[in-house]
Amino acid sequence: MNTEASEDPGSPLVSVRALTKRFRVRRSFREVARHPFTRALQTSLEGVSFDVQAGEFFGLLGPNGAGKTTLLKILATFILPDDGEARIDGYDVTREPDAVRARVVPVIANERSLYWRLTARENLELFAHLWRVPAREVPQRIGEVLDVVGLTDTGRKMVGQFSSGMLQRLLIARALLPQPRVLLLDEPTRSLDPVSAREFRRFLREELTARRNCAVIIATHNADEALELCTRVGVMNAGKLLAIGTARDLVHRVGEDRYVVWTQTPNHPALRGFGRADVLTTEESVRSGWTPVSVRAVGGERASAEVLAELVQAGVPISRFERANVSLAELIEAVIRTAPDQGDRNGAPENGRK
Amino acid sequence: MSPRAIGALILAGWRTALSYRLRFAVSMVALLVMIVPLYFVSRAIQPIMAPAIATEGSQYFAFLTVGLFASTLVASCVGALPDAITSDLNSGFFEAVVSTPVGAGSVAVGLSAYPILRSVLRGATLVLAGGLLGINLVWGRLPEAMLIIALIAVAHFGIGLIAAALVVAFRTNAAIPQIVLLASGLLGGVYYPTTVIPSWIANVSDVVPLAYGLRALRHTLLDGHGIQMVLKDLGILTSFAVVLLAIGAMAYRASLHYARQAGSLSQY
Repeated sequence: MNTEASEDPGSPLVSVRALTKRFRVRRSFREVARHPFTRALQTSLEGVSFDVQAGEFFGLLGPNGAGKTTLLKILATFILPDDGEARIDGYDVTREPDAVRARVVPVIANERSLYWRLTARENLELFAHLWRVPAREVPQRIGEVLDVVGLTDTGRKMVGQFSSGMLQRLLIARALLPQPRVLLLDEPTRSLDPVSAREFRRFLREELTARRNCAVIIATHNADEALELCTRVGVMNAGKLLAIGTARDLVHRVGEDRYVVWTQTPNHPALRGFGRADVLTTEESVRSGWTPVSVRAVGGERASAEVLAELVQAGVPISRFERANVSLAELIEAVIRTAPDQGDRNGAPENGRK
Repeated sequence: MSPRAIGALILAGWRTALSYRLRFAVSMVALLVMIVPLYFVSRAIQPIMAPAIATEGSQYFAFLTVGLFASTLVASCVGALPDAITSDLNSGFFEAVVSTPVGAGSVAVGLSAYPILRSVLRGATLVLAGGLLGINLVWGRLPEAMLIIALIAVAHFGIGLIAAALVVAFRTNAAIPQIVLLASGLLGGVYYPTTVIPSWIANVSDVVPLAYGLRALRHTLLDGHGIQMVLKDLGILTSFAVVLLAIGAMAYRASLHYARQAGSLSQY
């Protein structure tokens, strides 16, 4: 695998421009008979554009069916786009797929994609040859990647005897063999226990982006991955990239006007004036008698200070006043809600001629 | 073509087969056991078959053994790739392989090479065991025989590519391997010479590649004929091999493009 970086250090490693993909929707025989020349199309990606630099961790967030997996599969050359352009290290995924495959590695998360009757080393040996790792480097490279994922001691064990976590790590080891420039991950920690998942995230951050300077694109539903791991995230829905930025920025943007008031009178009329909404009651709130209530204060720190003063003046007993934590689900929901043109098309098929 | 990638896939298939040690041993023993009843049945019907096979070795046991060898080869050449792709699409292994820089041709050959080589090995074992039971093989004609076997394999691999293309594009092989196997068995001269086929169906056997390959193979291996004596059958078999391989390769490439367009290449 050619692992040389692109000539221009400032140019992005992954460049996606106005990428669009529509899939044909299967129709009933009756429908085909009635309208034989009409095709029902479903938009999976529409005008998606973004760049990812070397050493950057880019997260794709969004509900199921948002287009995240389609986007990753286009970058992996599994799917051809209808319009737009995607380049990996300057190579076009449609016109130069062989050059792209030599630089980008998708982590196939399916454990069955390994030979279960072979050992971990034998599986890696097979893929080292398929990835054109120089023959004399193969044993050393296998040793390295097994070491990186902590499977050195189990290299000679049959893969069928591996646990789920070990299989996931072996799949990662397989992806690291060709020393890729770009790594594509689709929900990589979904079958890992929390401890293994945390360890895996540490490995991704330290090994891939910091040490190997890979660009990593990860589709995830996991808040820890999005907030701790990703340099930037993009929120997708119905095939569109709605927002892009650092996860903290997006969370701040969405949650900047939301505060939590801990009070003994959650139904106080003064709270209603600030968009009162219930916050999940916790064990602590039940025990202490102080209930968390969400309020809005539009206008930054000054506005929040004014809200707090007004509530105190109205006689609302307050023990705590703090900025609300925004969950990943709330972040995605808020981005989708505030994006224009999102209400009418959540995967609805379109009719068109092609 | 990448010999290194093909070799790696063959080695993986071989290692997997070896990991099922008992199954591997039993299959070889079963093969050797099978030849014994075949020998006695052949001897029993030798007087009936002798006139019909006078120009193809004249010994029915030898005729049948070579026919079964070719039939086994055809089965694996036509079925190995569609079977491998069906299974590998379901497991995600196909997705993993096509994500590498290895070309489509190498992937196709690599995925099917081990089962085909295994069938050649099994067929050769069958013929050798037959030799122990009295088949008179003309060993001097082995190079010619190997050429004919290679052409039979290439022609039927072309059909296998077409079936594989259908699997990639539409997730069905449209029963092509079964149809080819049936046609080869009934009209290709596996169990009886094509000369005894009724005239109304004999025309169909003209488009069965195995009929030409098997006739040429028996002439060389059992009668000791040289290439010039089987040139006509060899020419037709070569034409089949070229045309079917070209059609198969085009269909396979087109199916990969279609699957990439439809987004079904990595669906399982």
